[in-house]
Amino acid sequence: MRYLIKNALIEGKYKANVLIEKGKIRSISDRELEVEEAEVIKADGLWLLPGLVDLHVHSRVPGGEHKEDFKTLTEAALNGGYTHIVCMPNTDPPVDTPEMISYLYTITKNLPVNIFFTGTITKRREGNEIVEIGLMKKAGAVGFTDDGNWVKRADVMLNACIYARKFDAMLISHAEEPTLSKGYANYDKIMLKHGLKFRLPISEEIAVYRDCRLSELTNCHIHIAHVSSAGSVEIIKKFKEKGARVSAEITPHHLIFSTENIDPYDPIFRCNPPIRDEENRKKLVEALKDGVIDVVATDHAPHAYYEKERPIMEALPGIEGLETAFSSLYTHFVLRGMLSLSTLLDVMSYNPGRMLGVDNSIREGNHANFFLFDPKVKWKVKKEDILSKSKNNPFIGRELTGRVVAVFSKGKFLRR
Amino acid sequence: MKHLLDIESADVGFLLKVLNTSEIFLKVLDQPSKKLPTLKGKTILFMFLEPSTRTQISFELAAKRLSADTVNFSPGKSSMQKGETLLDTILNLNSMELDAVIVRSPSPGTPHFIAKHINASVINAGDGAHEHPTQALLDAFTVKQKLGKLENLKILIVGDILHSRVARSNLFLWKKFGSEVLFSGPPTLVPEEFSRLGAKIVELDDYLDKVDVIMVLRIQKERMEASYIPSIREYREFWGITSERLKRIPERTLILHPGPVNWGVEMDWEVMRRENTMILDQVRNGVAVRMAVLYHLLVKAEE
Repeated sequence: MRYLIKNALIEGKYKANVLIEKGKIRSISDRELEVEEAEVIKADGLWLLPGLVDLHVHSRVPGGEHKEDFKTLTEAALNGGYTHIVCMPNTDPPVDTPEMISYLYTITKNLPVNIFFTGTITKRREGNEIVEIGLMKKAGAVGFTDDGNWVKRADVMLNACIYARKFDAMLISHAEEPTLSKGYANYDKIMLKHGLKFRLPISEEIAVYRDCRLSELTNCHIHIAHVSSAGSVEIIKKFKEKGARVSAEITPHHLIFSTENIDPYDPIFRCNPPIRDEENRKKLVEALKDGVIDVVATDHAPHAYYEKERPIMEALPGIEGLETAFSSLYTHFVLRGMLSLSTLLDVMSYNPGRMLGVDNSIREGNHANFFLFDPKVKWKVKKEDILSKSKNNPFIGRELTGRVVAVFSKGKFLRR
Repeated sequence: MKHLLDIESADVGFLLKVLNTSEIFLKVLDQPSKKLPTLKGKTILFMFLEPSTRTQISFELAAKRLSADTVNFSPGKSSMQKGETLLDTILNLNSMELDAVIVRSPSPGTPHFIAKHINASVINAGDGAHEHPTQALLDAFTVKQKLGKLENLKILIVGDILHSRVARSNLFLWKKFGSEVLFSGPPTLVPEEFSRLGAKIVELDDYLDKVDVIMVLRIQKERMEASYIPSIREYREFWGITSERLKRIPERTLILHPGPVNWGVEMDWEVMRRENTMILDQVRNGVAVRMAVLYHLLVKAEE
């Protein structure tokens, strides 16, 4: 099958016609391309952007199929312009054997999105015995994490680092020291006023420091998941300057929301780590701009309505992000001149892609993994716009500018 | 106003009206027959999701003395034990056409959550460490009764401010009335951040003779396990209203406590023997204040 995309603005910069053949970009040209038997896609006014890569997604399979399954997850990912996603292993049971890794690749290989899997660091995600990192890496695991839990035992984490280094495996740290993160709210005057229980920024900072230091010591690549505090940014920056193999990600919700612009009791915003105050939020945006934080990952965490719609203390933590990540960051930062489009593409496609060995750049010969984006359209997000099985997306009811129109993924053309 | 969810968002005019009406209802409580037909035909549900003695009895008496029908929901006997979520419970209760729900919960924001899903008026009877609006109202009523005013007073609150809904409700209430609120207690339980909410954080011993009201809070023994305080005797030594400290408190100064008191911990028994210790007046006034709250939410709002 051949596709001819006419008059698209490549990476939002220059107008070109793009010919896709056998799932690959055959040619990119500013001249008229004469092609027989090609489906022509008129893309006037649309941007052609590299497929997005999400390093942090909760598929909920196995064990949480009432929240999401691979079919709805795929639809959600494409709806948001994602062509590559990485699933977290904190399922029920957790992904802690090479057999499970192989099984998950088998059941997802024919889906139109590239789905990658991570394994846990420790068996049953209990924090005591390390998993078969070598065999799991061989089976396709792209990283290891006890996500949701921090590996509390420093002796276990030290050995995991030394061992993972041997196989050049990446460890992902959900950095929250547990005794200081028993609550669910940031520590600031607004949350104090509302009588909420705290999840202190320092719980993250202590965990980030330990893991950065372990990375420096062992030369193991440690990726810090969903950074939320300005103090963590300082620590990551120092270790990066010293040459440690540390990388970090941030979520759209930690970049956009702060305790000053949300209802503290709205359960939709309950997440770990929690939404922090405006001071932290501003520094996180700076860190993304400066490259201290490498990647935007959504931490897409589907939950059923009745699991989320509870008093804040009982609401399950997690926010969906796949379907609104690009539009929301484009609206909040690119349109306001706070981030350039090219930075946004770096942190949402190229940088995370590099960590997976994926290159989605728009070049002749590359796989056709990209999406068409209408940068002008204003839309109010409705529940029906969300294709995930769950609807815990905080942008429902809010207006965004710019929307994904179509996606090319794994050689398939999918129109919204 | 339809709900009384917290003092912070309540209109000051409404709060003053409640205090004025409370005086009338207090007089009713002195009559041989204590029952008024005011809320006849109204149904009030008590939803106490954590144990409470005086608040629940006080609200029940208030409702019954205004002739409302009352029903009790207790989580121990309900289908919440079988895993029904609060959302389910509320949607079911909403179908039963209630006029008011009085909520006590260990989780902050629960009354706000319920108000979002039910047509009835919701009254917060204490939600976690957030607020306890009727307690603050009855405290204010008690102070006004004795001192004749609500403004330009200095109110010192001593104890576990961090976990206290009473402290938060009082802070917002007295600020609305133009009085000053001072907090004192162990630094682990009185975070500096409270000064950004308008409270003045002080040393107890410097202010014993400089305030109009001292409100003493209960100190829970669990706070030791979580290492907020090292021991009860150390707490008593530095922050307890001991008989020694009592000598330095002027007689005109009111002492309040929301109860229940841990005698010998936050307060020595000598405090009870003093003229201007208002603990039992608070309880008495509580019924009248809650009658006034019910009246203004369920009758006045309809007019």
